[in-house]
Amino acid sequence: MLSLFATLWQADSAFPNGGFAFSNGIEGLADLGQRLDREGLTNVLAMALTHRWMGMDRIAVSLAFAAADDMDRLAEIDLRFDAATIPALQRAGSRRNGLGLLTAHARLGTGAAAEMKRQVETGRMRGHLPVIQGAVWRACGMDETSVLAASAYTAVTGMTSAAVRLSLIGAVEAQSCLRATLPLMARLVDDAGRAGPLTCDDFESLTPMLDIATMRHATSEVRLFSN
Amino acid sequence: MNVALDRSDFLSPAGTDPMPGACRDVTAALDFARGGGRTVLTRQHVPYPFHITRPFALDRTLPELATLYLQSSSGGLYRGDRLRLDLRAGAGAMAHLTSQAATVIHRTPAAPARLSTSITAGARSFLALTNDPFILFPEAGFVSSMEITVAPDARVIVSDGFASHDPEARSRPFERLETRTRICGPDGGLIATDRGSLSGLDFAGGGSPLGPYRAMGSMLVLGPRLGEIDPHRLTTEMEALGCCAGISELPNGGGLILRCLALTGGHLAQGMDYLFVLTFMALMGERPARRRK
Repeated sequence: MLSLFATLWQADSAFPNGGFAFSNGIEGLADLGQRLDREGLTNVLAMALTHRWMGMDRIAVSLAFAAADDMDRLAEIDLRFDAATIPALQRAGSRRNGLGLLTAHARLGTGAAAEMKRQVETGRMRGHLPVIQGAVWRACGMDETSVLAASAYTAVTGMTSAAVRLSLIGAVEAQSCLRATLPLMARLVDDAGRAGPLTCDDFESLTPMLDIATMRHATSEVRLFSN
Repeated sequence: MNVALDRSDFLSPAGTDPMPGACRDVTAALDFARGGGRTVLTRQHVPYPFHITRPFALDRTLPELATLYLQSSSGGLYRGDRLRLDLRAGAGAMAHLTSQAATVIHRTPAAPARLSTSITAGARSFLALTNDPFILFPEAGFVSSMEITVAPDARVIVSDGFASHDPEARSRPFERLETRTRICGPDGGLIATDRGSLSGLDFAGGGSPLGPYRAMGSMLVLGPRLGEIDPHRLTTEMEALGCCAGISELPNGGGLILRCLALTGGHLAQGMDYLFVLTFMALMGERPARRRK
């Protein structure tokens, strides 16, 4: 039961991790003229989960969960994740969001969060969000499946929240997109649990439209979100 | 789905295999060196199905730059192919390898075709590899791997591109595409990795990661630059060519990456040609001569 409550706590958008500042490509897609109504946004969420989260965040979360007490190993996973995250603005967003989560947990005194924050501040770690999630959420008492579920869920809710704040879709319609995505999230987390051992060599992502949206967002003259 | 191909001399009937049942396991190697104000080939091992033209000095203001056309003499890649291409540019050598047309990946039941390219750019060298897009036919599986090792003062341009095409216009998807790129420094230190995989169904489906586009390409630009690429000009001029493009700094200060999406393989080929001009100017400080195809 502790794992369930810890998951609800960490997946709550009220938790002060700074995630509100990131659209993870949604603002850039809107600027490209991508239709982000109910069907369009649902497709984008599915695409981001299947072709980015599953090959990148999911692996980093699991590897960091397994290495939660090993700073050298966490730093290695973090640097490999950085090298595999191609758009610069996506790298920057993941690092800033990771540092936000780390800062909150360092203040709360969670596990080794304060030590990890020092590693980031001294440049030994970049502090990417999924690496921090895997390590810190384990210290919160969450099991690996719950950590993966919360990672997928917060990735999706961050994008739906951005779409609502950009007035691309109504709040209720966004919830409809989220509900439509739940079965996919469940399947991907189940698949992750059944997958064999993965390494940093397995990091992969193929999201050219999201990549280009993020790249072009970097030079956009007006933007509400950091990425 | 139909793909308009402007340069498609490798197109042949789907499933036509020049050597039925044969899986080609072949390595081609080209070493370039600087000598006498020119770039010369010091090693040239080009077995079938690879074919290479002689070096051309196309750029009047860069006579030391050798341009060669790399061709497939077998009509594309087939089931079980394992082709490797090893390119090396020694100190100060300058070479550009390009293709004369798109390369077709034919149907590969249960045994994807594999092309592994190794690129090593030595001190002060320039090495470019800009192939026309690979065209995946129905039931084609393709694994494209690139291992790039670059000296800190070397300049490198490498591109890849992919589209699909059903010669019978029945909208049948390819099987699977895998791309794996790894960029390292001369000491083996990792700079960036860019890997992805996609089924043909996902490539063309409603939630495709290509959005409404049906062809995709990337271009890496490594090494010290003499000029910068204006991202606004890039996007505007690429849109005029029917392409959607973006540019970003690579991880670890490794250089630049440009991504490109297009509605067809033909538009992608034109867009990638334009990106080569832009990136060549950024690295070399002048416009490249036209590479006739």
